[in-house]
Amino acid sequence: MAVRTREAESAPKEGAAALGPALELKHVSLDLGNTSILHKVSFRVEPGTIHCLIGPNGAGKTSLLRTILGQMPHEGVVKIRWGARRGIGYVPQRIDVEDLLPLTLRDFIALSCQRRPAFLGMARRLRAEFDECMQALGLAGKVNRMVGQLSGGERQRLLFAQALIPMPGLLILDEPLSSLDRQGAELIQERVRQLADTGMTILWVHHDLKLVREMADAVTCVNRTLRFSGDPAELLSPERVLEAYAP
Amino acid sequence: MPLLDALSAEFMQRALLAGLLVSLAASYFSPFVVQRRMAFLGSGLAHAAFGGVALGVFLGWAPLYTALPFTVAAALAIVAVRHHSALDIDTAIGILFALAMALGMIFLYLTPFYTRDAFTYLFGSLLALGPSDIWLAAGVCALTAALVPWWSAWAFASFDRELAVADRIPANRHDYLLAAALAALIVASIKVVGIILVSAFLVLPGAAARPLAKRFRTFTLLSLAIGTSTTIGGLLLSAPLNLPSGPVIILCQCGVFAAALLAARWQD
Amino acid sequence: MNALHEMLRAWAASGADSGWLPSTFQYAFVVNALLSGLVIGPLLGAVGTMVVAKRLAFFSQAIGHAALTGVAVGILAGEPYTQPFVSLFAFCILFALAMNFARNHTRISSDTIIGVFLAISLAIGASLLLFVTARINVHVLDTIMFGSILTVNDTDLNILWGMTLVTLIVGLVNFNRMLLSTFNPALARVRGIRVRWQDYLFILLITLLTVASVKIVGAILVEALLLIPAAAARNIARDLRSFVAYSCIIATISCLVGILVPLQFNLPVPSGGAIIMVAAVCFLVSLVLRAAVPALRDAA
Repeated sequence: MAVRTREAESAPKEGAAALGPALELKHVSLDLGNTSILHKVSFRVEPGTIHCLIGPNGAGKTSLLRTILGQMPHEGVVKIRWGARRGIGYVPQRIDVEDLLPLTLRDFIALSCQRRPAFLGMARRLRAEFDECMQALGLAGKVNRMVGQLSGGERQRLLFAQALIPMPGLLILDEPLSSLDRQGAELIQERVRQLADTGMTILWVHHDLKLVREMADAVTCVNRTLRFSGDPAELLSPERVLEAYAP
Repeated sequence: MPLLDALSAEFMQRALLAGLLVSLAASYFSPFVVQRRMAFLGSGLAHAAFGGVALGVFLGWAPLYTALPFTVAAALAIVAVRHHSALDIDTAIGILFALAMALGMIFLYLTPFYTRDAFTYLFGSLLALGPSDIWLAAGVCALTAALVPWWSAWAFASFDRELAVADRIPANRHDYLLAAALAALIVASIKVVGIILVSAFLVLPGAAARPLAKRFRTFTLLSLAIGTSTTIGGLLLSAPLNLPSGPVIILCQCGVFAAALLAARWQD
Repeated sequence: MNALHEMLRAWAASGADSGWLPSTFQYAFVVNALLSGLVIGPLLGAVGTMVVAKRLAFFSQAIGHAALTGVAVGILAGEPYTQPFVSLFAFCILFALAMNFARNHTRISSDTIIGVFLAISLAIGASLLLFVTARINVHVLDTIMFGSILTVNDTDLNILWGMTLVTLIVGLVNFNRMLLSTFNPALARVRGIRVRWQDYLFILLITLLTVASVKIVGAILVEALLLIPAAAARNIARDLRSFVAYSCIIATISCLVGILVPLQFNLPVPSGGAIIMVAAVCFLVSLVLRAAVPALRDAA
C-alpha cells in the first residue's frame, strides 16, 4: 500500500487545466428547526486532491455533503469552480432496496445511469463501461445477483461503481468503507488513488483517522463549526483530534 | 326533551352500553396501533371481517360469531407471516384481505341478502343491537382488561423492540395476542360503527391523542377519553337525527383529530 | 378503436360458431369483457410492480377506497352513477395529493396518515352514500367495489386504451427515475431527478388508473390487481425484466380466466371475485415454486 508523498502533490500540475473542480465554502450555516447543524463553516478543496472530511457522529458531515450537493437550504456560499470535466459522482452510505426485489446489479446500474427503462435491459453504450467497472471492483461474477442479496460490502462497492458511470469531475463519498472487509477496502482505496492521479477531485467523509493520514492530501474537521482544515500530517495529532471531537 | 326520551328507550341503553364497551377496548389498543404502525393491519382485518360476516350470512349462522374465528385466524396468520418469512407485511396484508373480500363477494352473490341487514353490518345500527352483541362487546372488553397488566411491556416493545426482547419480554408472543385482540375487537365493533368504518375506529382515538401526549401513559389515557366520549356523543347525536351511528361517531373523531393537530401546532 | 372492437367481436362470434372458440365467445359482452381484461391486465400488472417496489400497498388501497366517496360525491352532484367521472376524478386526485402532502410534511408516521385519511374519506363517503342510495339502490356500492366487467362498452374500452397510452408514455420515461428516487433520494437528486415531482407523478398515475378502472373492475379489484400479480412475480423473477413481464402475464391470466371460466361453465361466481381468486392461486403457486426451486432463491 503506497503512501503518497506530500511533495509531489503540492507541486501544481503543469500545463493542462485541472480535471476536477475546486470547491470553496464560505460561512456556510445550516439550521433545521431550532437546531444549528452547521455554523459558519469555511474551507477550500483544491482540484485533483483527496480531501477528507472528519468529525464525530451527528456533527453535520452528511448535512455538509448534502449542502455541497445543493440539496439543503443554507446560508453562506458554496462555490464549485469546474475544471475540464464537469459532473458529480455521489457514493451514498446505503440504498433502500428490499431483500426480495428482483433487481440485479446490472439492473441497478442501468436504472441509475441510462434513460431507457431498466426493465428493457441495459443500453448498449453502457455495457462496455459496466463490464469494466464491475471487473475493477471485483463484482464481475455477481452481475446477475439481486441487490437485496448482496453483502454490505458488495453493496458499497456497487454504489461506488454507480458513481463512476459516467466518470465525474468531483467524486463525493459518504463513509464508503464502513461495511467493507480489508480486501474490499483496499480495492476502493486503490481505485480512489488512481482516480485522484488522473486529476479528479475527491471529497471523502471518513472516520478511520489512520487511513485519512495515509490517503488524504488535506483534511477538514467539522463538529458543527470548523475545527481545523489543512495538512493531515500536522493536524491529525491525538490532542487536536480529541479537542475537535469534543462537543 | 327528545334526548331524555331517547335515553329511556331500551334500545338506546343497549346501544350506549355496547358503544361504551367497544370504545373502551378500541381506545385502549389505539395507541399501540398508531405507535406500531398497524393501521394497515386494522384496515385489512376489517376486510377479513367482511368475508367472515358474508360467510356467516351464507351459511345461515350468526354472522358476527362466524366472523370472529375467521378474523382472528387471519390476524394470527399475518403475524406468523411477519415472523417467519421474508415477505413484507404490507404485501401479506394486502393479499390476504383482497382474498377475504373476494370470498365475501362470492358468498354474498350466492345468498339472498336483505338490504336492511347489509346496512347494519356495513354502517352500524343502533336499533339492531341484541343481547348476543352486548355479550360479545362485554367479552372483548373483559379480554382487554385482562391484558392491561402487560401495558408497560407492550409500550416498551412498541418503542424499542430490540431492547424489549433483550430485556426478556416475549414480544413475539405479545404480537400474536395484540393481533388476536384487535381482530376480536373489530368484530365486536361491527354493529356499532359498521365494517366500513371499524378500522377508523381503531386508529382515530390514538391518532388524535398522539400530537398532545409526550408520555405513553398520557397517550393511552387521552386516547381512552377521546374514544369513549366521541362514541357516546356520536351515539347520542345519531339517535334523534335518525342517522346510522358509524359515520356520526367517526366524523366526531375526525373533528377531534383536527382540533388536536391544531392545538398541538399552537403549543409548539 | 370502435371499428377494431367490432372486428374482434365479429371474429370471435364466427370462431364460436365454427367451434374452435368456446361457445361463450358469441356474446358481445363476453368479448368486450375479455378485451378489457387484455388491456387492464398488463396495465395494472406493470404499474403494480412499481407499487410493490415502492411499498405503496396501503396508499393505493386508500386511493381505491376514496373512489367510493368520489362516486357518492358524483351522484350528489347529479352525475349518473354509471359515468361519474368528473367528480370521481376530481375527488380522488385531491384526496391523493392531500394525503401525499400530509405524508411529506408532518411528523406522523405514513401508516397513521394513510389510516386517518382513509377514515375521513370513508366517513364522508359512508354518510353521502346513505344519503344518496336512498334515491337509487344499494347495489351501487356493489358496482363501485367490485365493478361490472360484464357490462363494459366501447366507451369504457376507449378510455382504457387512452389510459394505456398515457401510462406507457409516463412509465417508459420515468420508470428509472421513480425507482431510484425510492432507493436513495439524495442520490437521485445528484442524478438530476426531481424526487418530489416523481413522487406526485406516480401518485397521480395510480389515481388516474384507479378512476379509469373503477367502473369496469371496481375499487377492490383495482387494488388487488395492483398488488397480487406483482407480489407473485416477485417470488419467481430474477431480474427487472422478468419481474415486469411475469406481473403483466399473471394479471392478464387472472382477468381472462376469471372472466371466462365462470361464464363458460355456468359457475355461480361473479367475475370480480373469480379474478381475485385466480390471482391468489397464482400467488400461492409462486410461493410453492419459490420454496421448491432453489434456483429462484439463491444468488446466481
